[in-house]
Amino acid sequence: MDFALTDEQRDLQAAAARLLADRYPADRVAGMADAAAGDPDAWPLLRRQGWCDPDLGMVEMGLLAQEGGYALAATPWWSTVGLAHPVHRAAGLAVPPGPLTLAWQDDPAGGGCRAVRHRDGWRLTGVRALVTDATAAAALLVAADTDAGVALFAVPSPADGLTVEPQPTLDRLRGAARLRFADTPGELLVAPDAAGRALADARRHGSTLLACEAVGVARRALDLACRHAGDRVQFGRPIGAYQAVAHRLADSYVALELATSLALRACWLLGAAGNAADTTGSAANGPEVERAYAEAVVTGRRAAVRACEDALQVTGGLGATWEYPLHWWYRRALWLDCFDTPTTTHLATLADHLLAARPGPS
Amino acid sequence: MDLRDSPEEAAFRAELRAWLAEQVPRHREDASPGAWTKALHAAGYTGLTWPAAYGGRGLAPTYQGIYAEESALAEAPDHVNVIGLGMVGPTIVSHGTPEQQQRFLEPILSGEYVFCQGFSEPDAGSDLAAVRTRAVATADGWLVSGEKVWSSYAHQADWCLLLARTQPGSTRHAGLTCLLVDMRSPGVQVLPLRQTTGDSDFNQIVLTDVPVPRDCVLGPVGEGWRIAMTTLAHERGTFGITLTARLAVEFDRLLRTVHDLGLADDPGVRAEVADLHVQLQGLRWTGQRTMAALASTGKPGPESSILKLHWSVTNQRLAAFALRLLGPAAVLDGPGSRAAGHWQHLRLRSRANSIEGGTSEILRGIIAERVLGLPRTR
Repeated sequence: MDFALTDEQRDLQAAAARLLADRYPADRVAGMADAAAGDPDAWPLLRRQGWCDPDLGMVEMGLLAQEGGYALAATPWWSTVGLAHPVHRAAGLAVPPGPLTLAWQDDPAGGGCRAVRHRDGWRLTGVRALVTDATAAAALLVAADTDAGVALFAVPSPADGLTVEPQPTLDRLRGAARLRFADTPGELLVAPDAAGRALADARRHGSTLLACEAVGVARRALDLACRHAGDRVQFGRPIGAYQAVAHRLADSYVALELATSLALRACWLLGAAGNAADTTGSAANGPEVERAYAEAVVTGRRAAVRACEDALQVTGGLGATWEYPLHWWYRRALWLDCFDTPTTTHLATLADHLLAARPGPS
Repeated sequence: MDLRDSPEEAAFRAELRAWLAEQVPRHREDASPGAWTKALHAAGYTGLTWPAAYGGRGLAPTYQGIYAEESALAEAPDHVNVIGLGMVGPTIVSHGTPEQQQRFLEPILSGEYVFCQGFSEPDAGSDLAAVRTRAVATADGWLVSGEKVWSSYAHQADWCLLLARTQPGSTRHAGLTCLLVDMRSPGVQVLPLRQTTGDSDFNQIVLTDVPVPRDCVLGPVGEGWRIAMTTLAHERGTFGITLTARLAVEFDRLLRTVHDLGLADDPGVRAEVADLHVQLQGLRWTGQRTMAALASTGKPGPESSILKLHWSVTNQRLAAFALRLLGPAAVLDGPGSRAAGHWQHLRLRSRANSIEGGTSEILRGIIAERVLGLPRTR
């Protein structure tokens, strides 16, 4: 057992932190968020830096996701590497070079997406909603119902019969879009027999990285709060010298550390399961991976929301202003807290396992 | 990074687990002090990380972690010499004279010498530097007088590692010295402290002109604070792993209680069980990260400071939840009550978790100052 980062992993994380700190100082993050715009030049840079290398390990990706959350980097990296690339791998295809995203959610206002086979290929009609980074994507991977069940398709963007409608969002740095398909040609990537599994795997892969991103968000919020607590003087002392402030931040740190441990562990297990599946054709520790992912997501979300809310309290009137950038991290924490599978469902999955049978006598 | 046991670690764990399965039931009845230490010693499970030159096995801290985890999971008897093996022994390895190492280390390993610790006092709890127990120099050593409290195993101990003020008129961290005190010396009186549970896990030690020979000073005279901090640092080493594994045992017991009460389908119960499990997993894997830092740097990383803090929060939460599950029957106690009064006892006992071994307030202060870099809070 050796739960420590290797020197290479440390170097990778430090290099990512430096790159993002240079490129995304807090005022630029706030500026981009104000304009609800991502960084259009980020993609070639991240590719050059190796952030999309197919041989990047899962722990390494988790570290990059952590730094992405810390910097609040407005890039399509997570949608591409976290959600879309696993679909290409499931399909046995090389990943294309451009930014991508995955669209599988129904519109909360109603409406799904169907695919029908024509003489010259598949055509998609309907709606997909809550799609991340859709405006930046060169291609969209779309889950659509067929007569044989759900299948996964690739649709280039732009395309005839495709409308990408950005939707106003709480977290302006990870926008959502509604996709409308009207007889839109799509390329079948994963057929119905395997698509359900591929979609679930991709969502789990993406959410495991989001647990890491949440760790980065929590760490940044805690850093902002600690800096303020050291600088801000009231009643003749820095406010961090008051126990009511210091102890709140210590508890925030506890939540952050627990989340860090479980996020890294979930990454490691998922990576190990992937390696085992590559060599033996099946992952021996599937249920353990499933639970570790649930544990990581739950603790990551809580740590991020908590750290931001504690930081909002500690930064006082400053933190309550639009100009102080903390609320952009808080908005990301709130996005993380509700994106995809709800926390209550993750806890229910764990309870199913824990209470399936009465443990024997000790 | 590898979150599995290495083949050597797995073999060690399997062998230890088999040994515990055989030995633990046998020793549960035998309450004689030192018996369990002696059994461990005979099987080669004492001094795992001590250097071979001092009779240890020279293994990496990971093995101590496996030992701590498996012992707690097997509900091995509480180890009467845990202070000697885990804290005093390593301090003597670091700071003892060759004569002291010769004299104490082997008997600590074998269970012949049981140690207790005399640090806290009635007016020196969280503020340990307020120690008032004084040692007055004599022709051949010291005469010690004062009062120590919350000393585990003192009623069974042969020796005590004592922190006393040797420089008259000194205050705070200066002028303190660590002494190795023979508990059979004249003037040593041990009185049990009775806790809210009714149990007596701790003692008061009253010292009246207790003679301590010069060769029983551990480390330099006046450097007692530094030596005591070494001892307390060793306490943090794998203790978090022990606590977490004990919590895992309680969690399994909780699951049995849930089933026994027919509450396994109750949505509120399911949510809290899952949440407690998540806390337990966070502790468990943070403990493993701490262990990795210990193995690579020789000292626990900043993560270690949170283990005891969050363990106490979680153990208290589990105990409160378990007792509530019993409903009105929770008012009953004793052997005839549900789980023989286990949850009633744990509910009371767990309240001391956030006091013993560093209060939660002190631990939060340590995190704030030493990890987060905040200004001193006092």
